[in-house]
Amino acid sequence: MKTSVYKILFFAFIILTSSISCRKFIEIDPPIQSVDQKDVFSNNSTAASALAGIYLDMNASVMSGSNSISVFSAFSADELISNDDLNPFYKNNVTENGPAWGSLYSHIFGVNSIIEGAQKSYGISENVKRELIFQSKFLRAFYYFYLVNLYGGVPLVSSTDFKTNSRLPRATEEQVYDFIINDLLEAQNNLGDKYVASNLTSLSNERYYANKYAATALLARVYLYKEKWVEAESASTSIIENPLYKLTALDDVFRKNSLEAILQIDNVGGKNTEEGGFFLPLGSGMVPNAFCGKSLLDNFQNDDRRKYKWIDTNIIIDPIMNDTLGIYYFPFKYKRSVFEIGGEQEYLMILRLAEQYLIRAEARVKLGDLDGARADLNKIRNRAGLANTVTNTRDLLIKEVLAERRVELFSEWGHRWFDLKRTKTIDAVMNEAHKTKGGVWLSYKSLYPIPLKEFKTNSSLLGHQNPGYREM
Amino acid sequence: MKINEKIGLHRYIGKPRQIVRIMKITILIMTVCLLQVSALTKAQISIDAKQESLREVLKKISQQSGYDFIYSVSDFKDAKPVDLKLNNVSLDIALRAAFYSQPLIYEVSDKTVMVRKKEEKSYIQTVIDRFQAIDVRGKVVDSLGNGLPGATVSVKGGRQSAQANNNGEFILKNIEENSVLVVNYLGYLTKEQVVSKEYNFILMKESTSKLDEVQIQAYGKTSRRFATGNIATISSKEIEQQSLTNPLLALVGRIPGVTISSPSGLPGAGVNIEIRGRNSLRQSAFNNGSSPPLIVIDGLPYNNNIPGLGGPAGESEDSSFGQALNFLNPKDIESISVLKDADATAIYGSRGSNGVVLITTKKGLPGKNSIDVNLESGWQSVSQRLNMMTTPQYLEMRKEALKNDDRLPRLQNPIYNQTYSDLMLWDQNRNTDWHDNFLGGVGRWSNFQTSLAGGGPAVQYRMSGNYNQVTTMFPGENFDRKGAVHLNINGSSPSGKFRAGASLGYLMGRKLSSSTDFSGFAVSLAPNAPNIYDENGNLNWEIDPVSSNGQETWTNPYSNLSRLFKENVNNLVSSLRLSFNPFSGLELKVDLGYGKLFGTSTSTNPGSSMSPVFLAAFGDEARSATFKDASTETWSIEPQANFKIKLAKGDLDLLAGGSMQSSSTASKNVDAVGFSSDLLLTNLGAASIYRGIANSSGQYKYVAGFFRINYNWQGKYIININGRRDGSSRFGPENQFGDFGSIGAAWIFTEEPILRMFSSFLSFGKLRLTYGISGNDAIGDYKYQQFYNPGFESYRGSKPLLSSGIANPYYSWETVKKLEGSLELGFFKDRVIFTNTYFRNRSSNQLNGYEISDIAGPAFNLVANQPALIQNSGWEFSLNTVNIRNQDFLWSTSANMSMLRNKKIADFDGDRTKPGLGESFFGFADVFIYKGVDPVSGQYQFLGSDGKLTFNPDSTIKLMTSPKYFGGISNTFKYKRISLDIFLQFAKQMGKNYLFQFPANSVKENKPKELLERWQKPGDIAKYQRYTTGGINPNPESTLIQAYGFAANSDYGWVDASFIRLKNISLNYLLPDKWYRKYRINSLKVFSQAQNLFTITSYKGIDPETQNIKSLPPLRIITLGIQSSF
Repeated sequence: MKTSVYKILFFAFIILTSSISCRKFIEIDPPIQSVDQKDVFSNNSTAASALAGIYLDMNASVMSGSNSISVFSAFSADELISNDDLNPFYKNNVTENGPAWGSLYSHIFGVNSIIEGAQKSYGISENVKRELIFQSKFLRAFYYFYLVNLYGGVPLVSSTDFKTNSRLPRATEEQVYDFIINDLLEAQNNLGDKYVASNLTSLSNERYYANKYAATALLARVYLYKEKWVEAESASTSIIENPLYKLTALDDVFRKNSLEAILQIDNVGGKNTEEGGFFLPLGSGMVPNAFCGKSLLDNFQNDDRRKYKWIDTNIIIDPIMNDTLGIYYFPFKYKRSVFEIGGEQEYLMILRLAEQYLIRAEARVKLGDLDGARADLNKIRNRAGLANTVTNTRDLLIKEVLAERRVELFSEWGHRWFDLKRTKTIDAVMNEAHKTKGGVWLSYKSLYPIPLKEFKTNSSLLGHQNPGYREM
Repeated sequence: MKINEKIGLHRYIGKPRQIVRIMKITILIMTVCLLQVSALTKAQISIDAKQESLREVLKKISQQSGYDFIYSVSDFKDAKPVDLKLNNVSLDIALRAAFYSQPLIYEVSDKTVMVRKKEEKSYIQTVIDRFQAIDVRGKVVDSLGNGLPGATVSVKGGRQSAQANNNGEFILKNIEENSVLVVNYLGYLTKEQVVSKEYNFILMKESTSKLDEVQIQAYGKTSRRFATGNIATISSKEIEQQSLTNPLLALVGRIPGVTISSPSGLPGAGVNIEIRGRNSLRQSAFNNGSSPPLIVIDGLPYNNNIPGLGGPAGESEDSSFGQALNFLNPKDIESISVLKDADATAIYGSRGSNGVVLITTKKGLPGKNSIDVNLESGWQSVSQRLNMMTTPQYLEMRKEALKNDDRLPRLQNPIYNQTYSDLMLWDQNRNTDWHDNFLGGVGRWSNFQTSLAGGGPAVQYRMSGNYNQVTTMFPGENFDRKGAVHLNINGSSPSGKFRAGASLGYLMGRKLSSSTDFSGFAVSLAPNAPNIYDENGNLNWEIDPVSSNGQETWTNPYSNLSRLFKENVNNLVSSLRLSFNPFSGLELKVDLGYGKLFGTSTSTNPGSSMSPVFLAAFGDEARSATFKDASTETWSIEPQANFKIKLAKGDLDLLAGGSMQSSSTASKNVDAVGFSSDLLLTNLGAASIYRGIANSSGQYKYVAGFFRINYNWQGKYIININGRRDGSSRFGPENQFGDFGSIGAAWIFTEEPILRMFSSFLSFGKLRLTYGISGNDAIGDYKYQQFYNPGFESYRGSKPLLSSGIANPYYSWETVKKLEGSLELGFFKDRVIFTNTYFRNRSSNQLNGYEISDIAGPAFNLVANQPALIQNSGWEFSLNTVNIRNQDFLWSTSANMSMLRNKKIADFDGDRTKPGLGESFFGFADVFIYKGVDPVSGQYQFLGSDGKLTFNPDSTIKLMTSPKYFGGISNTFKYKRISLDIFLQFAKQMGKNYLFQFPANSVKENKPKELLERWQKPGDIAKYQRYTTGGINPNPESTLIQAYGFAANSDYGWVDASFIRLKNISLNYLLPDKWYRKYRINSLKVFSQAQNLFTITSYKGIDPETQNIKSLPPLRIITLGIQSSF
């Protein structure tokens, strides 16, 4: 009798200690300030917030402001001059850590994380899932477009598995472009004609989230770069022919919800752009952070209204001697600075219609449709107050389109730097430019050096630095 | 089996047995040698035998001792020849030595030694014995008659043994009558007592040997004598002698291998503790970047790192470690044990690698009810001061700096009124000693404690209440008050099989102080700085007469007085233990623990603390307040089964158990700005702007199963095996579980017969060896999980979610392999105990921030195990002596010393971190080689790598900055009713030269007089470089600033900071009882205690330990008190 009581107690003791599953017990709640990655994609609204985070992040970093692609690649090319004489981009003297690398890959991680989260999720509706995945794919292509143009063939990261990813070797330029085109085609096929709002379910009159045409616009650019003239022509045509997009007056191009915009990005906290904050001097007597070089200014024809509408001047005067010390011309596309108090009037422009006209013009010249090309070119010229072009040879027309690109797209997204590279005119132009920059141009400088840290942390990259640069 | 038993048998069994007996005795008498010599009570025996027969040797012993030997010659046929050399030893030792490894046993009784063959009893005899067996019942009691639960009762030479139950009662079945019972109880002398058929009361005497003091170990108790692991303990006596607010500070200098530091002497400052160096390359976010140990209070793991509540003593998260223990009343602590080696810590699995601190609170003891009242009051002050320049010297320095830089004309230009107000506007004759102003005061220290304790065998209790108040010497109202209650109750069922105990401690802390540590002002304000108050008694801002808007020329330090920091902390620590003894030897128990600490704080920035100009410029937005709250909550459940049994000739002690623990933290912060009035500052709702609103939480869970096997073979060979499997929520799903274990062995070699003969000299000798693996999971919570966090900025009207970046779900704990060998020796009946320990901890699988290719994504917190291997090794020595012990006077000493070294044996992948292999990884500095002041330019110069003097040094040497050795010496003197304890702490180390903690250039701040020995003109051979104002373009002076920086990072920037500090003195006088007996007072004691009375050091800064001129050094506290017991 007595022993059986003990047995029961003993048994109870064992049960008590072993019945609670150990693994279950040590499961913990996420911290209140954070949401577990898995939970983010369990419903529409948090999933949409995660995508909003990606766009928010594009507001600064290397997309906008002092370190943006627009800024450093304009310095590297013959476009803008830095007020810091020693600026390594301006001097084409970037020796070890190329720009935007970490930031672009960080954005790629962000979109990969959304793609994976959305693909695995069952809690979100199909249309939200589609927006998440294909907007992300558009963005991923956008980021890779800049990586491949700044660095050449780069490692292709398409998941969030850091163990594999951190050891990836460089892909070829060809593979990167294939990847970009693939992402863009998928985005083009799956995103809608209209723009969605930040909740990803309702539609919006604003153009701050990528739609089908954003993907098409970038695709047109990629085809142009890849010299696929037919594809480029047809892609740009589908945008140009869409009544959603219209060329606007020069003053209105960079305003929020501009009819010319194919994709814009809203600014953080209802302010104006970081880009404006960088380009616009803080006061009338101040040297701007970046100002236009002579070769750019000379490129404008005399009656080109862009020279006055999109460029402003600051005159610096010595207060004691009352002498003019210098006149500085600076980009004035954005007319509002992030530092300005007052309502939000401008969004960061990502893709706009004018570029599509110029893409099509170039493609049409290559395809032999000179009339069509001239018509497209004239659209842009006329808006700037210039008369129709009279050029009628292929070679001259190509030159004119490229010159037009220069004055239309200056200080935007590295167009000039990339145009020089893809047209293989870079060496000639930069040799000339270095006469004023005061340095020596070497052709390897058309690509930036992969940051040194990468060779320390990823042995697959060893021996694959861009030519002319060191690895440690 | 033994002669006397046989006599007993003869007496009781009657005839058949008697015949056998008579026959045996006849034979005996026929062959016996009856040897009789003069009766010596204290035999001193000397024998020099070489291959002599045992009988010859016994004959000699008999001759010298006067003892008779009775034996049968035939028993001696297997006896071995004896080699023996004994000089003046006792009979006992002589016999042990002679009979060592002989097939014979002997029995001494009443001047007679009976010798018999070591053989099994005959079958008949066994049957007869069996017949005579009885059941023995009894109770093991202490001198007050209280049962001693868990005492081991065994039959001498037999196999039976039993554990006393919770009332101290035991039962042994089928014991031969007249057997001898051997009773062991931790902390008491072993007792042997012949069984009685009646109820056996066995009275145990407490051991006075240091070796038998009870030591708390993981899930149990042990003693220094039998411990296989390294456990160092300080008791309530040592804690109560000190005036402390954080119990960890009681350990300073008292435990070898443990370093304890506090960044400041302010009450409530964090306390950093490091046991045997740093096992992680990772700089932990708390505990001053080092590796914090696990802290366990009454079995409940204690989260000592609370989210910061701010305040002058805990401004940064870094110094918040050790703060939670500020809210545990030191006077309620019975003991603090520090577990160091693998044997002691492996049972804590993946948390034990940095050592474990076990805190045990006081319990009620059976005995007479008594009420103790303890009143203590004292003063605290800063004992050190820097010798600062006087006004003439200061002004000379300032002008010389301007002259050196060709800037003297500036003194004519009112534009520089702000920069040079000390020279242009302020009184040139005023000379204020700011040390007196800020640190010259006296703070109060008061403590009041009362306790009621007592109980009977069934229930024991203890209740106490404590009130402690500390004020600093800073100006203005400030206090740190704590009220604490502690309750403990233990009881058992009438059968003694069930037992329950509960303990509850609750502390409320209220703190009010300025948000500023004023120590910095004492050494930085210019000696001619303006008066604090103007003639109207308002704060004086010493307005610049030229300034159009009434710009002030200094920041009045007293403006900080109205910037108040208020803190409220409530802390609960409770535990419950239920235990059940189903049968003798087995104890089932469960420990439940719960603790919660909750604190809030408010820091205010009122308009009254601001200059009129500032207030006018910012208006309401100048006023701000910060509101914080933080809490931690912990619970644990630990079921355990403990089984003790006698196995062969040893005692086997088995422990198995499980552990479930959960700990969570939460904090909130609101920065509120824009109050229209100072009166509204404490009202969160009255602000117009809210910034930095954040809340956060963390959770940590833990589950484990563990066992311990301890086998003690005749108190001679002890083996101890620990094992644990545990799972921690700090690791990814694949790596949550791990196995840890250790093995420890001890050989008490003085128990070997061959050495017993030296026992009068070498009374105790133990050799210990332990090896094992424990882990370290102190990397913080959630690090393996990927999260999305809301951004600080809103986007399109709501806060988007941003990815936290890559996380590594694959990492697991750091592994620390600990090896330790120790030799422990006791001499002269343990009056001298010496311990020498060597340890070597090798820590691998290092968890650290991992640098990863950017292409993988953003890695803000990426943690990974890396194959780096680092080693901490060292020697620890301790010595306890009783120098004088007689009726009236006792003098005892205990001393300890440690030498710790560390080095890196293997590095991370790809050699990413410095320094190199085989070198220290912490506690060193790479310093330039200082070569004096250049007599030509008056600038510091250094040795270049080309062997030439240079101003731009490029070569360094390694300087060890962690202590070479450190320790403490404690002396206790007792004369009749007076006792005196003196404790000295010492360290041999390098420290930062305080001179380089002053600004490099001459600004509106005072400097030490020592800097007067500067270079003034070419050719001067000076100790310090020339003065400069520095800073502004064009900058030839900036090279002097740079040179100052180089010098600060050279061997000139490090000086000897060794010290001996009289850390603590305690003097007690027990008043003669005739004075108060008639008032029904049992005892009345007056005492005085002093902390940090003086320090002997060549270090010239404020304090060789804190080495920071701008923080409060350890304070000198002197208290007087009275303790009475009713």
